[in-house]
Amino acid sequence: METQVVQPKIETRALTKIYDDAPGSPPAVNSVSLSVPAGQFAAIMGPSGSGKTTLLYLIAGLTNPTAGEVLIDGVSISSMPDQARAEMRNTRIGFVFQRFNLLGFLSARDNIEVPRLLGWKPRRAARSIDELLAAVGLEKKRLRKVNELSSGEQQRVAIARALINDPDILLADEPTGNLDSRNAEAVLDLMLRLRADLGLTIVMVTHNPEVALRADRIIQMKDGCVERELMTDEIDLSSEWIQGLAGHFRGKPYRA
Amino acid sequence: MLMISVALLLGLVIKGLSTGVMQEKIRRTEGIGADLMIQPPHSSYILGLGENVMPDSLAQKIAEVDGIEAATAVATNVSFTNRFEALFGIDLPSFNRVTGGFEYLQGGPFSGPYTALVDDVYVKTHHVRLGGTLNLLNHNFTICGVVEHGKGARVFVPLKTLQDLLAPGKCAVIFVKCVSPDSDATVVQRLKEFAGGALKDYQITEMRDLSTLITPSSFLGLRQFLLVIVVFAGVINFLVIFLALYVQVLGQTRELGILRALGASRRYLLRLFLGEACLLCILGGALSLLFYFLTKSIILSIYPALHFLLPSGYVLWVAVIALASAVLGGAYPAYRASSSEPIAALTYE
Repeated sequence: METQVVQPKIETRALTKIYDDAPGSPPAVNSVSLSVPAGQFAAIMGPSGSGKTTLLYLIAGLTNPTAGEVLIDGVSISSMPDQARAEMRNTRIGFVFQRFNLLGFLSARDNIEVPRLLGWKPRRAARSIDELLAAVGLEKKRLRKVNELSSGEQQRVAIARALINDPDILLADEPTGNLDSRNAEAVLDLMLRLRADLGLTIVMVTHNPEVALRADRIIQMKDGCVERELMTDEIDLSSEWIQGLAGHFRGKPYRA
Repeated sequence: MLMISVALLLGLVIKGLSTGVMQEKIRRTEGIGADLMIQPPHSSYILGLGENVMPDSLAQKIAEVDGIEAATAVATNVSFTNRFEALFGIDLPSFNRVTGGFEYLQGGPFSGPYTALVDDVYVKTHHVRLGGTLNLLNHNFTICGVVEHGKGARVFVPLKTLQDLLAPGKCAVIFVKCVSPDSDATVVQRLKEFAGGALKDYQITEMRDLSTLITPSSFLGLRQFLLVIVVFAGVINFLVIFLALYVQVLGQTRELGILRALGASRRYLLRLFLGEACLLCILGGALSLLFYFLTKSIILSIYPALHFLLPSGYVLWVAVIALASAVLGGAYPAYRASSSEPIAALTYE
């Protein structure tokens, strides 16, 4: 019988990142090898300084690894020239930052449009800005300066911006970290809905176990290494691991 | 942008004014109507700047040379009494034979040794009138006639009077009218051989060549001065663009990081900043042209006798210098912006 090998959407091989070149500096990410299949929603958890965000930046090609490599659909982005990597970031990967990183002097609509203006041709038929504004529920505030929007609204603009070029990967660095629980839930719902509609592969960094449990898979990091990985539908919510994951875990999570 | 335009404006105004004044001098000298101009060796083509060292009796002898219809001796001087103005001492009968004579708008020819003719431009710009008094070389002259402009100088006095005041019996230039304008070259050759080669070292100029002979180098140091001005404008342009873009790169590090994270390549940012440098330069250049025409109209309203002429070749040259200095000024900020690492820029506070 022939076994079909499924190509992971995202793969890291012995990925290592050391920020300080001084000998003996601890690596922020230490030989991490993992793979994320297409369409999966993976949550990366771990205490501060465990290397979650650095791992996400490495996957996005925002920084170069000290050793190892990142592959998207089997193609190494770590060895790509800047031009090709910039195109990959623009057309294949959507990135949502914890601090939104919007251009404050522009309107919501203009912020969403920025990735379209960087000179790359979208891979697929371009999604319209108005369609995205409607998807994130901001069609009435499209012309407002983003500085005038609430944190939740700004994060929704950031999500819409990440999706403007119709990427197949969405990377999110604590997208709910700066939001109150109501806005956090709205943003998470939006991401899950978009993932279902668009077939996105999502990798999200979060401190919040409640948020993480809405993913398909949790990758727990510690000291730059992957400490533990498991699918959320296999998790025993009363286990010691879950209870110890965060002190603020407040009970039974719900699933999208 | 304003700084760029002011720096470029300086070069444009000085060039425009110097070229305009020179062209007007050429037109006026050509307007005399002579075919040849004889001057002592190494004289300036700008009439009025020459020394009165030639004996005026030469003019009579030259007039007898075959192929020459008439010759007239002119003593020149520059009057600083009111404004810088060339002054001609002329022998009216021979001057009329060479030039075809004045067209009198008011009054008539000299009526005494201390009478003067002025042209209509002089009347307009110096607010003088027929019968009024002109103080020239510390002597009062009565204006006896107003003539049509275009005969070399704006003020004319009798040759003998000016010679008595400056150099008796001497003149600075002899204007020659040939029988046939086509025979200029032959006549020049004859003049060189005249009186056993007495004029061989003299400067004999065909009037039709004057426009090519009166250039910025006719004014001592003007070419160098204009070069310094253009270099100065280029340096200002470079510094303004460098500082403006460098401050922008430093102040917008985070925004640059955002653009890099969203997919802006190094090449894109390089193009963006160099494009901005060029755009600033082009807008500054356009503004400087606008200011040039504004400055020109203001200066002409105060000094109507001045002339402006901006050669298109010079404008092109200034544009090339400005654009080159803009690209140089924008190069380092553009490099700095393009070499920013997205993460370093995003975490920049």
